[in-house]
This record gives sequence, structure tokens and C-alpha cells, in this order.
Amino acid sequence: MSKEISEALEIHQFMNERNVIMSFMGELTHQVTTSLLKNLKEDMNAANVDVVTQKRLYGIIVECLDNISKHWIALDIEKVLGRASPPIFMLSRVNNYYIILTGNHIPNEQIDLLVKKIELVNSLDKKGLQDFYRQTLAKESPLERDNAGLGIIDIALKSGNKLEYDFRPVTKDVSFYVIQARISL
Amino acid sequence: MNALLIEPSDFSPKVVFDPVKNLFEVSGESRPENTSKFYVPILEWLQQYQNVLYWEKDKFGQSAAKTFEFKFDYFNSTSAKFIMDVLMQLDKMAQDGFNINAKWYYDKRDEDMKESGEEFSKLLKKLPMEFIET
Repeated sequence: MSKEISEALEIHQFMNERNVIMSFMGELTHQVTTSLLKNLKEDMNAANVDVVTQKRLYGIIVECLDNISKHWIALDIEKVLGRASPPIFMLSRVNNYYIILTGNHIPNEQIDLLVKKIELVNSLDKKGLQDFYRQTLAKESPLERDNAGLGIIDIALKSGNKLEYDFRPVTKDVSFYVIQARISL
Repeated sequence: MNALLIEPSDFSPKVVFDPVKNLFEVSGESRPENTSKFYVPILEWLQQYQNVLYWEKDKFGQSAAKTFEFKFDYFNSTSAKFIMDVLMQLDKMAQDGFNINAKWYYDKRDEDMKESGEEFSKLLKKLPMEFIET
């Protein structure tokens, strides 16, 4: 058995043990996203997941994948690192939760603002999130380029759990950013 | 004025704004690849329609009531801002004295969709918004 096959089997076993339902590593174009979402809808229907959970899960995944696309467009990571390093998306079901996890590179200069946004939504309860959502909706012009605020609030609202995140430094300018949302079943 | 008709796709809603039939409806899923490209023509159409309504009111007096119906299965946060803009435009028309109202449809199992509509309506000054469970 070649080294590659052996490693692939290990990756499969690793994912299997962690109840991964769906994972994707590669360029997340709108077309790829649409295809993943279609599969997801079918899987959830087949698994008889209730409508509210289905819709919340769907909504969180759309926002997470949209975020990845935005970062992907803004940052030519192949140029920065000298090699391809595409983003990752993973959906798993562990105990009584669905876990949505995405990872992608971002410029270090964006980290502080992102941490502030996540910490702020993590500090709010449902009512606070709804108020914040409404304020953001009223304030932001749709044509403004930076529209990350509403997406994070939406994820937090639909998740109903605190968001977890991490940044792993890759170069002096770029880090790998991972964010995880959970939905209780 | 010509109707605005946009066919639905897996990621963008169906739009029927037809003044002749007095039918105004947006339905389906909204997460277009380019949200601005999708919604700006809708906002421009509404702006033109508003001008027509002003002209008609001037000439013939108040026109018949117009109901804008929103029947979303899902919309992403980027779409939310544009939907807000559509509602704001309708709200402006209502504030200017036109007989305009909105209906927000939601699946009875989907409380989040109802709450989203309620959040929108809290930001409107005059436009009456009715919530309809399906």
C-alpha cells in the first residue's frame, strides 16, 4: 500500500470517527456552494431533520460559505504562500449538536476587527442579537463593501450557541482562521 | 409601465411586479451570486413605478390599493439589506400618501422567517405589514 493510500485511509477514519457528514476542501465558487447546499437539503430531508433545524443549519452554512468566498476573492493565497491552500468546510453531527466548521486564510490586519465582532455577538442573548441585527440592517448601505457584520449576527442568531474560533499564524501577514458554529438538535 | 418579471433559480427568487394585473410578488430563495446585480434593477424599477404613481395621482387622483407580497423560503444576510431597501422604498411611497401595503408570508413551522419580517417592519414608518402563516 502506497503512503498516499495509507494517509487517505487515515483521513477517512479520522473523519468517520468524528461523524463528519459532509466536508469540502477547494475553491468554494457559487456553483460549488449551490451543489453542496442541494446535497445538504436532500440529506436532511432523508434524515427527517425538523424544518426549523434544517433552515437554521442551511442559513448558517450559506453565511459561512459566503464569508469564505469573500475572503477567497480578496486574498490571492497562492501568491502569498507560493502554493495552493484552499479553504475547508466541514459539517458533522456530534452528540446532540450539528457542528459547522469553516477554515480559510485571512490577512492578519483583519483579525482584531473580526475578534471584536465575534466576541460582541457571543456576549449577546437572543433579544440583544435581534436588536443588533436590526440596528445593523438600518445602518448599513447594501452597496458598502464591508458587510460582514450582518452575517456573523445571523449565524449567532440561528446557532443559539456561542461561536468558537481560532487563528493560526501562517506568515507574518496571513493567518488561518477557523470558525465553528453549533446547533442543538 | 412594463411589468418586471424575473424567473426563479436555485439561488434567486421569482419576481413579478405587474402594474396592469395589480400583482406584486417576490417568492423563493435569495442568495444570488451578485446580490447587487440582482436587486439594483428591482430598486430602479420601483423608483420608476413611484414616478408613474406620482404622475397618475396628479392626473387622476388616488389609484387602487397595491399589495406587495413577500414569500421567501430563505434569504441570506446580503439579500436582507436589499430586501430592507425594497421595503424602505415602499415605505417612502406609503409616507407620500399612496395606498400601499405589504404581506409577509411564512411557513408556520418557520418562526425565524416570521421574526425576520417583524425585524424589517420595526424599521418602517408607515407601510402596513401583515404577517400570513402558510
